[in-house]
Amino acid sequence: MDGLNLYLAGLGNVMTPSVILTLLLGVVAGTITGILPGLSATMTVAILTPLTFGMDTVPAFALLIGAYCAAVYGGSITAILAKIPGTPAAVMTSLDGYPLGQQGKAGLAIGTATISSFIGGVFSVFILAIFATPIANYALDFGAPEYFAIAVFGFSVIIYISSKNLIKGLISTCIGLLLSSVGLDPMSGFERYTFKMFELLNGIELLPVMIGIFGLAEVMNVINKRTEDIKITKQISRVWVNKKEFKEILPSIARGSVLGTFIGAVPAAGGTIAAIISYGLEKAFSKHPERFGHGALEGVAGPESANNATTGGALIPLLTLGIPGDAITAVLLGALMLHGITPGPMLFQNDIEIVSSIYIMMMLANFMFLGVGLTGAKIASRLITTPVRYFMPIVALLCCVGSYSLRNSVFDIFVLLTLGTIGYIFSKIDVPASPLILGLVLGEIAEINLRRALVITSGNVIEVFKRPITAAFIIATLLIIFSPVLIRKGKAIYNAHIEKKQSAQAGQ
Amino acid sequence: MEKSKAIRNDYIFIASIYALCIYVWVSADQFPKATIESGFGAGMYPMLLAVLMGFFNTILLIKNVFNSKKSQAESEQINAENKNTSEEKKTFTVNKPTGFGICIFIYAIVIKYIGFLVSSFLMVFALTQIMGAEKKRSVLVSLGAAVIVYVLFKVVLKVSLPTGTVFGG
Repeated sequence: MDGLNLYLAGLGNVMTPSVILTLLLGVVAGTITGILPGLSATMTVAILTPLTFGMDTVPAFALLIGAYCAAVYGGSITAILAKIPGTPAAVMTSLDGYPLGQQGKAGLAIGTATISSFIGGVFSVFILAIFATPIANYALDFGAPEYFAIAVFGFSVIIYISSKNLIKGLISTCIGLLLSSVGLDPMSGFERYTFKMFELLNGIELLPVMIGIFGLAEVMNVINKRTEDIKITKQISRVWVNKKEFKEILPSIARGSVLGTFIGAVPAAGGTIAAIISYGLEKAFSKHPERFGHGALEGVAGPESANNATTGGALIPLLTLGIPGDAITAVLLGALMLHGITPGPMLFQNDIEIVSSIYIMMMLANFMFLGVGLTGAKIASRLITTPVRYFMPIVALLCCVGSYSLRNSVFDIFVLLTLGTIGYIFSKIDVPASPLILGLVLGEIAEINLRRALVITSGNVIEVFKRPITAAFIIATLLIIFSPVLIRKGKAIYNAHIEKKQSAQAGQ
Repeated sequence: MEKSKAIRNDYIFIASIYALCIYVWVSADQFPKATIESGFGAGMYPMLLAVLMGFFNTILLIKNVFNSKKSQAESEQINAENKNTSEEKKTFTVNKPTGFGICIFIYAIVIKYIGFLVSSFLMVFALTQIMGAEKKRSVLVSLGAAVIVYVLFKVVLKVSLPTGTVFGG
């Protein structure tokens, strides 16, 4: 199918009332949960996944993609009005967005964030559409050793999601990998760690684990925090950005969009990192860096375009190689797999219409949140004060029903509770729980391809790693994972060298 | 105090991981033996993971030993300062996350017997009470949540929800 026909087929799939309505529902749900402090974009997608079971593939992904794009954006509204980032990626938006609100320009800040997020998102979808197919075509020649290496490369994202403690992140990944080995052995059919429970024969279901870690554990964390009165800016002035202001922020949006798309495509990065780097970049480029932190529009435009540009960027490795770029794309990967779709090069051969539908839905989702954001800012400001004491019990109920509904099994509610408790305990002892999901998602792909590769090479491990692409991926993974250590050591050596030089000069 | 508590928690975590590694290794060793056709046996992969996890755990242990030595001196000083202050009364209180966990556990057990609607109403009501919500509003919110979720999943999404054996609905 050539390019134009492909997009026409995708357009045909998407342009039906049910898909458009579902996409809009996803956008509204994503914006609301993005606004509500404590509900992350990842949690939103995880909780919405069970709602898609009875749906066809395209409407199912309309709901999830709408929520994904909008939740990343929605976090900015809370950051501007209440100085609380609704999602972690909106952390930099609060630095200048909140002061703008205090100056009576909350509407302008929301308008800037909305337009910047929109442009960043749309730009990243274009890049996704241009680069995804060539990468997927290149990956078609990959064999089992390369797929094993790609799965291992996927683990490099651990560096991003375990920023506090890499070793604990690696242990958490191993636990996830172990969980993926529960059930029938994919090659010999032998039962592993099933404890004679038939519910475990097909392995641990991904959905209750995802909802447990990203939903229930988050609920437990939020309710454990002391709820303080949130002071929000209630006066929202004009939301529309005028011509002069748009001209002022356009270079920041352009820089943020390019940066965000690139960072999103790298598996070890994500929206938060993109926003932080973009903010630093804008401050460096600005003629008035002293205005940053006191209500600079560029300080809102840059990070917002960057964090939304990661949405399209992160789908490049996800769709072409099956590697999730961050925690939320790991959940999206799980959702794709639940619908019988395996991301990777074969997706571009067998289900290319789904791929083009995803591009079009992402594009439309960006247009939709532009409309929702620019018209619904006043309603949004009221949502921030939704009482946690009523809201969180309902989220807990949704977590239970969502887990149950996968295969109508009460057993999965126990899985949800167990993993939710583990996720909560992990957060208390500073063990990142997201790598566990990554391990569970990528575990089966890693195991089956490693074992197939060993069969091909008659058990010669060296032969597996001698293949150029495999070696390149493994080296890249190690470099990314240990880059903080390498940078620290490099800095120490450099500083020691400078000190030595200075003391030698002083001696002369 | 906080730091020493974190270090103690880390030791508990490390001990649990070592226990998990040993369990995985011992049980995987009993799986059918490796052949090339079976892709080197069902036990190879878990055993590999046990070794890897044990290795990372050992690094964490070494890091913790160094950290605990550093904080030991600090905590001794703080303990000496706090010796004369009154001891905190230890009272048993169920915190909110534990309360949520217990409620969900009971929910998972009773849902088969009393059905989705009744058990969901009771669970949301119990959870709002744990959160300290007003009773009248809690009843309304719980009823509303149970009915809306029921309609959404059962009627709209056609998910088969438990009807229960006691109330039959």
